Amino acid sequence: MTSPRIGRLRLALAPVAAVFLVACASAPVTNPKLDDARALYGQAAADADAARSAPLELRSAQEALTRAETALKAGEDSATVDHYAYLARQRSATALQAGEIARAEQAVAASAGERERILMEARTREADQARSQAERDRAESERARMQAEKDRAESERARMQAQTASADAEQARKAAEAQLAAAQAAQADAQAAKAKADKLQNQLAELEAKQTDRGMVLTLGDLLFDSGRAELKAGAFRTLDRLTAFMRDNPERTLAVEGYTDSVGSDALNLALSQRRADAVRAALLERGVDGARVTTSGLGKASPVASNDTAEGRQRNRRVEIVISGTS
Amino acid sequence: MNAARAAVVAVSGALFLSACATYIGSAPVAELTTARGAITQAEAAGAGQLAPVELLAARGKMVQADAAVRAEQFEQARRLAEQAAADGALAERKARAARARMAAAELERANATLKQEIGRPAK
Repeated sequence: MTSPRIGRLRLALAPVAAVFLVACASAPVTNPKLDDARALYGQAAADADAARSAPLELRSAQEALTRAETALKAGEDSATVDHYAYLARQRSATALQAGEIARAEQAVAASAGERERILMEARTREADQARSQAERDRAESERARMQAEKDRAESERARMQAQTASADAEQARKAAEAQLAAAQAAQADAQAAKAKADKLQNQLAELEAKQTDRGMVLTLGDLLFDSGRAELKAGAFRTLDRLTAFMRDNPERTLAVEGYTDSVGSDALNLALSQRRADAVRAALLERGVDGARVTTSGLGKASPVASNDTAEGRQRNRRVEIVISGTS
Repeated sequence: MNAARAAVVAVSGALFLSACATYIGSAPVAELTTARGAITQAEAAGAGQLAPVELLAARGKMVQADAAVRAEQFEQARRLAEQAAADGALAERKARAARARMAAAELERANATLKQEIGRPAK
């Protein structure tokens, strides 16, 4: 024990022990690599996917961590602490990668599901499209049916229209017939009017009326009166009867009765005589029913001779009564 | 007093020796096998491209572990093998995670395309 050999050994061991004691006494509470490993382990342990898919890795990481911490507390050499810290760190990282794998595989599964969903959706949409196409087809055929119905109604309407048109044509035909009848009636009227005009002409011809500037003039000659007198002889009655009938047939006509004489005798006598003769004619007409308002008289004496007063024959022609027929037919 | 000091020193030295003593034994065959398996699986998972840093670390430690075994530093070999196994496992998971993410993204794109094509009005 006290031999020089032991003494040398003691001397040699003393610094070693001192180093050891220093190492133990000042053993660091922390080790950066261990801290790093602990942090990573904490991260892995908190990762549910990592914990589920890599439980063995996680447990061996924890064991390495524990050993590193134990070694650190026990003051073992840093190589040992570093070794287990390293193992803990790598195993934690491995567990974390396992978690990554699990998440990626979940994403793969989700994508597969999504793919199924997309395909299903597409099939559903195709079915929907087929259904709506069928509906469109049905609607189209319905529309065609409606169109056919409408066309039928249209042709029916056209048929009705044709019937109406034919009825209209019938009506037009009847109207034309009525027009023809009206035209015939008008023609008949015209014929009647012509007949009336003809009758007037005949009457005037029978009265031996002459067309003059003053109108139709009927002359009652001297022989129808007694000489120097105003009484009408019976020979004038036939003419007056005809004139009365004419006046009855032509109510718009008026008569101007004018008495004339020859140049023999005084004007006063001649004017008075011519006036009386005109009055006599008027009175005779009124007796036969002619309205007095339609007959005027005037005595004009020797005025307006129609022949020479130098001969007996001329004078006889100048002694006359003229009846001027006025008013238009 | 001298004896007491000697005893303290002796106890301390014993503690020190027990703490620092290299493991004297056989090569860590199980750890080495596990590490090699992990590396093989990582390579199979495509870690060469998808997790090269971790895979290279695992391979490097594997080489070092083998060297340590040859040097009969078995404890060192064991630790290196353990680390190589951890690196290899991480490389494998990392590669698998990357591939799974790519697959998910690919499917998502495919779905978008499908949606676009189907969503297009028929006719």
